[in-house]
Amino acid sequence: MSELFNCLEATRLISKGQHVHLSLSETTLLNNHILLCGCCQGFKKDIEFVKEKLSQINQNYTLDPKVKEEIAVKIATQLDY
Amino acid sequence: MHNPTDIKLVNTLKPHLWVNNYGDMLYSYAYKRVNDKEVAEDLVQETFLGGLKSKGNFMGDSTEKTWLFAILKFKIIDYYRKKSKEKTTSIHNSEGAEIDSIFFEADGHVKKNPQIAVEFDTSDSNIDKKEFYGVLEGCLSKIPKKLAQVFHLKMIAEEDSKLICEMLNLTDANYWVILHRAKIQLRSCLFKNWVS
Repeated sequence: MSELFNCLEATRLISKGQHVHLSLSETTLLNNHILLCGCCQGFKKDIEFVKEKLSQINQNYTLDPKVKEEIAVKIATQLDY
Repeated sequence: MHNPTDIKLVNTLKPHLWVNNYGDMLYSYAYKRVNDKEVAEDLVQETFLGGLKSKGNFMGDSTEKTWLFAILKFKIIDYYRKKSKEKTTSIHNSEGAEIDSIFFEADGHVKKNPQIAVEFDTSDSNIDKKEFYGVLEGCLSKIPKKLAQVFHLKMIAEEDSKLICEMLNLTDANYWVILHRAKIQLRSCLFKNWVS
C-alpha cells in the first residue's frame, strides 16, 4: 500500500466515484490501492449495496389530510378576493 | 381559418384543484429534499400561495404541474440558502470530522476496527431475515443532522451535486468529504444493527 495514498483517501474516492467519473490518475491510484486492500474492497462493495437499496426504495410520501384541508381553505380564501 | 394543428393548447390554472391534484406530489418531492415533515408542509403551502400571487405570470406554455414544481424548486433553494447563511444551521468544513477519527488513524489508515474492516452479508436471505429496510431507516435517522442533509439531497433525492453545493454553500471538496462521512456513519450503523 502506498504511504501517499491511504484508506481515508481511497474510501473518499470510492465514495465520489459513485456519483461522478474519476480522472484517469485517480482511477489508477484507486485501483492499485483496492487491489491490495481488503478494507477498501469491503467498503466499496457495501456502499454500492446501500446505494442500490436506497434507489429501490423510491417511496412516495403523502401530505397529512389535515394540512391539506388547511391549505385548501387558505387557497379558497385567497381566491375569493 | 385555423388549421387544427395550428391551435396551440393553452394551459390554464385551476387553483381550487391544486391541493388534490398536486399536494402529495409536491410534498413527496419536498420531503425527500428537506427531510423534515413540517418544513416540507410549509414549502408546499408557500408554493401554492406563491402560485396564487403570481398567477398573472403563468403563460400557459407549460403545464400547471411543471409550473408549480418550478415554484417549489425555487422555494427549496431559498430555504437552504437562508439556512446556510445562519451560523447555527450552516455546514462547516469540519462537520462530522470526528467520524474520520473514529474509523481512521491520523495517517489515514484504517483503524483496527471490525466495523469497517468486515463486509456485509448481502445475500437475499439475510436481507429478508434481518428486516433490512427497517434497520436502514433507523440508521438514516441517526446520521448527524447536517451530514444527513447532504446525504438525503444526494442519495435519496438524487439532486445535482453542483446545485447541492450552491444551496448549502459548500465547496466541491467539502461536499465530497461530508458525503463520505455520512456514508461511513451509515455503514457502521448498518453493521452494528443489521449484520451482527
